[in-house]
Amino acid sequence: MTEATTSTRGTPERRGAGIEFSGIHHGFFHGRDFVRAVWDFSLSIAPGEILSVVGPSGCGKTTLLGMVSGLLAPRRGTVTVDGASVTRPRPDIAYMQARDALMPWRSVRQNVELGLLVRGVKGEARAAKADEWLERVELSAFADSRITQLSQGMRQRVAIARTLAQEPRCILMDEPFAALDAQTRALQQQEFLRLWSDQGATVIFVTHDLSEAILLGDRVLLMSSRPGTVVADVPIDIERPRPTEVQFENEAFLDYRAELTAMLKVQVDRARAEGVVR
Amino acid sequence: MTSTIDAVGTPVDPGDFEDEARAELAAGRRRSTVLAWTAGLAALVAFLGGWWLLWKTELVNPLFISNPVAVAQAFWAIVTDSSSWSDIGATFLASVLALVVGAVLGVLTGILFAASPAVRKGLNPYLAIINGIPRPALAPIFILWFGLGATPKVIVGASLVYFVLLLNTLAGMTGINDDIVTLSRSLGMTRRQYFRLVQLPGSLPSIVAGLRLGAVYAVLGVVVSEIVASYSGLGQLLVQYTNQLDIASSLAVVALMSLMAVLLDSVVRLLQLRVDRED
Repeated sequence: MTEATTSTRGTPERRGAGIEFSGIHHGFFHGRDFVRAVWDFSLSIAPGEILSVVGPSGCGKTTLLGMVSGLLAPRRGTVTVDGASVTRPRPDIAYMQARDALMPWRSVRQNVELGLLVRGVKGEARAAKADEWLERVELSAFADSRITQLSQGMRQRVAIARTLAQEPRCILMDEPFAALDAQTRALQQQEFLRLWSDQGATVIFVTHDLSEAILLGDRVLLMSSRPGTVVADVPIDIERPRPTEVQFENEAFLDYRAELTAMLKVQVDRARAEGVVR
Repeated sequence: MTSTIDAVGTPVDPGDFEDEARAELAAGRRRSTVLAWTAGLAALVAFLGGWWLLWKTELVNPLFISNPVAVAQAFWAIVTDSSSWSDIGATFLASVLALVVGAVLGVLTGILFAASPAVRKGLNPYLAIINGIPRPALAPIFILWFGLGATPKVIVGASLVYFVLLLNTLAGMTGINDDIVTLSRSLGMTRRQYFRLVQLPGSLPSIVAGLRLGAVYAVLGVVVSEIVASYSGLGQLLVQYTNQLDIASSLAVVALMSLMAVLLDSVVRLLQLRVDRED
């Protein structure tokens, strides 16, 4: 099933990248204590796959994203994207955070252009690409507006446009919709899925929200807290497109959620008992 | 125009409804403008009136406080006297120079410190000590070194401006939002790109705010240095008048100094408005 769907995603020349974690061990200092953030972690993600990652706070989800994006190097083990080891940030790997990180000193269009600008794409081509993406997120009318004039939902759409305008082969999302209200979040999820299906990038989607994880993911990875290891790796066999209602009506969806909720609860309780989560 | 029926059954005209809301908003604005002008005028009248009364009733020795009319006349006499314009010019020129020199050096040091936390840490104690010196205390020494011309007063003014701009630039550059920093790194920005696309525009509002403060400090430093000793300048003029017990003229000179600082500040404010608009 996963094979069948992923192979049809994106155009042949614009396919997602395969990601491979092998033997990752990583830790950092939390005050004076050394914390084992991720321990003996290995995983491979197929090109064009959406992998949702859930787990209690402090399970190393963000650490994993940092490793793929090249922002931080694992102490042991390797991360490869399309077989090449990641050593520094690459323009074809996009990172999207919970807050939109829009620059208030740049106009809406200039924010969307940012990734292209950094990569050295020249003025005309850059503006054309940005306008094309603004049209796709239905914000053309606001191209020259200041960021401060936008609503929260609009800002997040600008962030999506900025991320996808980079034409990444891999998108790392760290709770990108966590800061939005429920209505806006449901809209943004669908918007993202619609835009993503044209591009077919590989996605690692970190979230606290199980429903969101199942709705978006081809696979849901459940992690334990410190040290972060894989507890369960559940393929989600629900047909796409998956509209918002799937969460309430689809039997399979509800089963997945019940199963994962039970497993997550065990992890959260364990984390709380160990004092990782307050 | 379409009419809708409200809960009680009276038709409500949407046009009238909107006009009414608009009229209320306009009335509210008018009221607050009138209030602001009234408050401003009342304060001015109270100040001038109180001053005049103190002088008239001789509650305070009239020789020491002069009166509003005499000060206004003295002010007019000074600005129409061509010889005083060389003093005004000297102070103004020195203030502008102090602002420019202090600001350029301050911003450059701020950029250097923002780029290298190690350098910042290493030099911080010295800067704290130098910044702790009451700069006017250095004026006599600078005058001894550089003579009675423009140099010592520009240095005193610039040394005040320098630290304001250094601290504001540093605060602006190191205070970039964490999410924007992470985004910039994940995009693989070079150091130069990060400086040009993020740090500089991100700290511009803070730098311009520093310049506005600096405009006032520049005039302060220059005038204090002139008061200590100088060939020309408003500070010297003030000393002369005060020595002659000419309080009206002294106060007129003080007013001139203030106007100068306000003028410099307004020029910077224009810059600020431009920066804000570009945001």
